[in-house]
Amino acid sequence: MKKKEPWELELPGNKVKTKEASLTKRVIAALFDVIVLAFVILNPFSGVLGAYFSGSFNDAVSLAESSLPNQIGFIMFIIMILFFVYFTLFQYYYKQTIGMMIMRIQVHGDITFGKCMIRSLIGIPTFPFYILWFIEPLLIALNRKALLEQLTNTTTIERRQ
Amino acid sequence: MAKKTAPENRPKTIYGILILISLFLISSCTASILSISNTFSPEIIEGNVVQIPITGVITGTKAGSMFQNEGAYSTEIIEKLEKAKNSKKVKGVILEINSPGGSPVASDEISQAVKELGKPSVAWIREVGASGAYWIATSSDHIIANRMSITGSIGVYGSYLEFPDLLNRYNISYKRLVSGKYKDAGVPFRELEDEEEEIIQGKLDTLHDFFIEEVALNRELEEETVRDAATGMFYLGSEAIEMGLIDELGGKKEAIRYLEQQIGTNVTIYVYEREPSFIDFLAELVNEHAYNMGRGMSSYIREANTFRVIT
Repeated sequence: MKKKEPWELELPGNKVKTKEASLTKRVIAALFDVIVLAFVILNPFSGVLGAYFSGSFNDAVSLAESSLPNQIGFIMFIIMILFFVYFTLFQYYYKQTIGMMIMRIQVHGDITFGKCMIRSLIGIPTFPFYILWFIEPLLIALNRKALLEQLTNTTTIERRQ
Repeated sequence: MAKKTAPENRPKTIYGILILISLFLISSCTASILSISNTFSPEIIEGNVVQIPITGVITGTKAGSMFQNEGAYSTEIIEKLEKAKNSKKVKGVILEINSPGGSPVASDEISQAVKELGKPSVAWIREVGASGAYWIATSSDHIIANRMSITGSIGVYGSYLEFPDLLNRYNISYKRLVSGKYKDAGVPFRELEDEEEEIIQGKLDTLHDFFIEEVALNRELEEETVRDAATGMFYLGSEAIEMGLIDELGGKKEAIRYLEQQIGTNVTIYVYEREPSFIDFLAELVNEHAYNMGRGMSSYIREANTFRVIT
């Protein structure tokens, strides 16, 4: 954003309005993030996972060897860490993930690295964190404040001029 | 100590791109390491008799159904049989059968591989060794089953569900476009015509004849005797031995004793194992840690809620 010079008047037309980001925008932002993460993090693992399964959902629940659950658990653990790192770093340094950048929403508040880590828990695609995928939208739809935002005293806003 | 807050000035875009590239490289390297270390090579470690499990529905490949958690894949079983055949250390094979049957082709493939083994083999039927699994068992030199094991079921079925009435009820019509008048015979969206049913039944009867011929040949029984038993009915072990469908009632002990008589020495059994890789070690570590964490938490909760009398 262009730095305001001291002599510039704060005219009504220049004001940036902010409001709580709508649920729709947050969901769409999350979908964009999933697409980005699918390319960046999940795609390299497609070969390894493809060696276990022939690619269908049915095969994904049909494990023929006892050692496979351990290995897949390990892969999911790595994916979980990388997802977490993505959400934490982008929210900390940019106050936005890539999906949020596209939807023009961002994190607002006293943002610390620890708070970003807490906010990023929703991005982890394993149990028990995916329970938040149901809880957070419900809370937002009801009172506009997600659980993790309440815990971190931050919020997600959209800026309009 | 002051909390580290987010930087005031927005970092340059290049840093975001570097973060994404780093994540991609980490994923790629991890996936590459996993691929290199994850090769399946069944190796017999030591011993003179190999025990090969045939568990679950018999199919050709690993493309199973949602309800099939474990299957007997003919490609894998044949690979193990060939390893046993080519190994100088292996003197005999125990087929540990616990299967309701499955694909006739896959069953025949395994059956042929057992016949070509060239070493003494014994089929040990546990809970179930029926249909295709029984077909495989007949290829071995000796069949042992528990008196309550389910075996037999010498028959073929190709039953399926038809939905034309259900579709009609919801005004869904099946548009038939085929070249070759029998091309869509057996499609569940329309009724099977009498002529088609007759043709398919004929093919099932042919498969049934193949099955009966194989059992009669392998068990050295008269074909008529086998045909009388081949009603598709299953038999308990105690019934099957009277009909000549199996050789002995018993379990693993009897299977071992039979092989010891055949090979003339004590039997040491080994099951095929995949050599654990470094990734298996890491995976085991992670899972053990997670398990112990959960166990610790649950025991804490359980103790907190336990009624205790304090004197």
